[in-house]
Amino acid sequence: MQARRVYDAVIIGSGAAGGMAAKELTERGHTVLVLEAGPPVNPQRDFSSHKWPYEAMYRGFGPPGWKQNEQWMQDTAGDFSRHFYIKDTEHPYTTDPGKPFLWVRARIVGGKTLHWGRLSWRLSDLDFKAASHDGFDVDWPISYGEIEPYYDRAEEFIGVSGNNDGLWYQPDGKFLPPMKLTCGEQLLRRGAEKLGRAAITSRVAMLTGVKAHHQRYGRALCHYCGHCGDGCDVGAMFSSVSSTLPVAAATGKMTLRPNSVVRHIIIDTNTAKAKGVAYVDRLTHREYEAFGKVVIVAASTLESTRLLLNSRSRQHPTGLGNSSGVLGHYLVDHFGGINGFGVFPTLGDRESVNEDGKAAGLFIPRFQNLDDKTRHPKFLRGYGFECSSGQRMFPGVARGIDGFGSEFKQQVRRRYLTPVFTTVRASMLSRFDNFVEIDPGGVVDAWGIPVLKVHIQHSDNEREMAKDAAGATEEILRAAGAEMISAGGQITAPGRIIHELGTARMGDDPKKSVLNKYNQVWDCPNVFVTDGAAFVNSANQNPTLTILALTMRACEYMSAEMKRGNL
Amino acid sequence: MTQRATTGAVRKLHSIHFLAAEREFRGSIELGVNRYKVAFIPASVAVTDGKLEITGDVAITGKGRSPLSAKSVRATLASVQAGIGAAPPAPARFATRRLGPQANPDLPRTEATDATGFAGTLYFHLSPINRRTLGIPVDMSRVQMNLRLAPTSQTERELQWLFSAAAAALLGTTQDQALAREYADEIQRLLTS
Repeated sequence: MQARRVYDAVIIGSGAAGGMAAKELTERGHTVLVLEAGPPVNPQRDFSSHKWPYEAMYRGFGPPGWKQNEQWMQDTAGDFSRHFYIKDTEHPYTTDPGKPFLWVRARIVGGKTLHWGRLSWRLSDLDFKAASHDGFDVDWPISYGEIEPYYDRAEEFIGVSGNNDGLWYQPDGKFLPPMKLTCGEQLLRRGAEKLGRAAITSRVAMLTGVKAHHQRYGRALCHYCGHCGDGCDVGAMFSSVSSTLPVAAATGKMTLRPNSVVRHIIIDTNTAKAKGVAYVDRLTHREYEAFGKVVIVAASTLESTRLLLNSRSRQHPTGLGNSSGVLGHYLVDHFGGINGFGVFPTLGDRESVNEDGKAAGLFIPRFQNLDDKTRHPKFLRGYGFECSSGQRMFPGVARGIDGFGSEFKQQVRRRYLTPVFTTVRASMLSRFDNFVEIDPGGVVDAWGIPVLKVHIQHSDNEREMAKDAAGATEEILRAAGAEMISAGGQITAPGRIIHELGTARMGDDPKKSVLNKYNQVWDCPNVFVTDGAAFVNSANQNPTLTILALTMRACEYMSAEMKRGNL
Repeated sequence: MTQRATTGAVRKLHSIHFLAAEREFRGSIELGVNRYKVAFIPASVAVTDGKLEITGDVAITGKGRSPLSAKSVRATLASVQAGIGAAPPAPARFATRRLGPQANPDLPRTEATDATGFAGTLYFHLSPINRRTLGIPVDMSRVQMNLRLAPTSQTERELQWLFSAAAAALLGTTQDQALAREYADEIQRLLTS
């Protein structure tokens, strides 16, 4: 009989949270088993950093019908990156009729860090203490001051380019040099500033400077090739594959097992604590168990909650960590879809230049409900704008131009040199009635594991915010001297922004939250959830940097508790 | 890590992905290096005990083997996944009906939701199929049919609207079996005409 190995920690997932947990724990001397549901990744084979569309049989658009028939919810998957994403044919989830949720999932070593947007913003006490500002819902159990040192460490480790801009509600950090703004982005910044709006260079997890700890693992400077979503083969962009997993592997204390789809967490019937996980091999369908003193759930927001809900036992009859009844609840996603599009006539006569490989554009941070003076009468919280201006390889602007012949070509050429685009990134209120549950109809995935049913809808708070954003974006574009082409749009379906958060929220009260302030499950202290599931609210900033910082903090605590013999 | 003892030597087949293609549903099963084409050919559609049921034959073909089929397999709708994108237009007979409530016209609406919402994928449970009937080495005692609706023809678009309407009538906030039966009859007419 095979000897049963007990790891210090079993980590479920190898994306941002799982990779960081592996790094943090192995560096502290702990042994970890990382279980990844998807295949291993080989950058040389799987990344398409420098491929041109004409090198693909379907010119980068993929085989006819592929998206609609196989990966219909994998919105950001492209011909060169679709192997980073799951196939919807094997991974169902359900919703109420007419209430869609767009769930983008990566099951592969590295997870969504292989193709994430890389925007790296800190939250501030405007977000952590949002309830104290406006009375809605509850505050996070941590303050900005408590997480600030971990933001510092996370930024320095992953490498974030950006400026210190001196905005209290968008805290500064430890940055590499910023990427430069294009001419159009500078015009837009001036326009925003005329209206009293801050407009800052986006902060992105891209190496614009290489430090020793980057160089040690082969990470190189960004060379602006623009293929970030197809896998970055020089490691300029932060991913688990370029950054955290190599550090963990170098310690010799990490075992990484790809193709391992975790079914549930195994509970010790005597102690009610976790003793390991049960998983199935994705390819052979054989069943396995693995054992650890601690289980870290880092499978991505909704996969983590699905796993907890599927981990029912005598001691945890409604799912692991669900004695409060809030597991699965308070689901949020940012929304987009309210866009501004215009052209800068003053840029129409310039020469065409190569400016399409830059990852960072301009960001207009939230400017509503910061204080009494900016309080909005119709909605709580707020939104910002992600903005860009410049030429792209494919003249997408042509799609919005009517006509044909030489006049059409002239129009395309003119707009090709001058476009400016803004899109909203807005918060969604955390509401109990936006939730996930195990599908009551009994739907399962290809491995027989019960799937989630997602219930989520926007409220009038989001709709009022969207209406305001449509007006604000036009105002900013006009102030910048842009000729308007369009402003407004539809709110994106929940999930489309790929910032699904909450459902296993942290809190101060075990009766109203799933996790304590160290991401530790109240009901089962040797289980931690360190991904986006832990969020109390969405704020309006991209969440990954906060996930990394929370994971670092949780692992520091976990390691200390293990050394004290408490776990 | 340790391997758990498995119960029984035959692997369980949990789900088959199908694509609605005109009047039948087409899918495939991969078992190791073997790939089989599967078709579900609907014969009747009904609402029974508040659930949408499609009864039909499941036919399977594979390289170097004779086609086999399981007769009168019952598919019961378990759940749906709402779709993203453009909603299918209502068939002429139901032109004045909506798939959901109209949004407040004074505020921006969420894409593909309520009146513009529709079903993108339907999940059915198939009645047990004896694996020997289809001659493939898997346990098919509880197989789920994942039916993707990605229409490319008028018939497929009409079917998507009707399936969406039937699902909304049966799985929405309030169940309306009479309305669902009306849609089921029309689905039957389209699938079997």
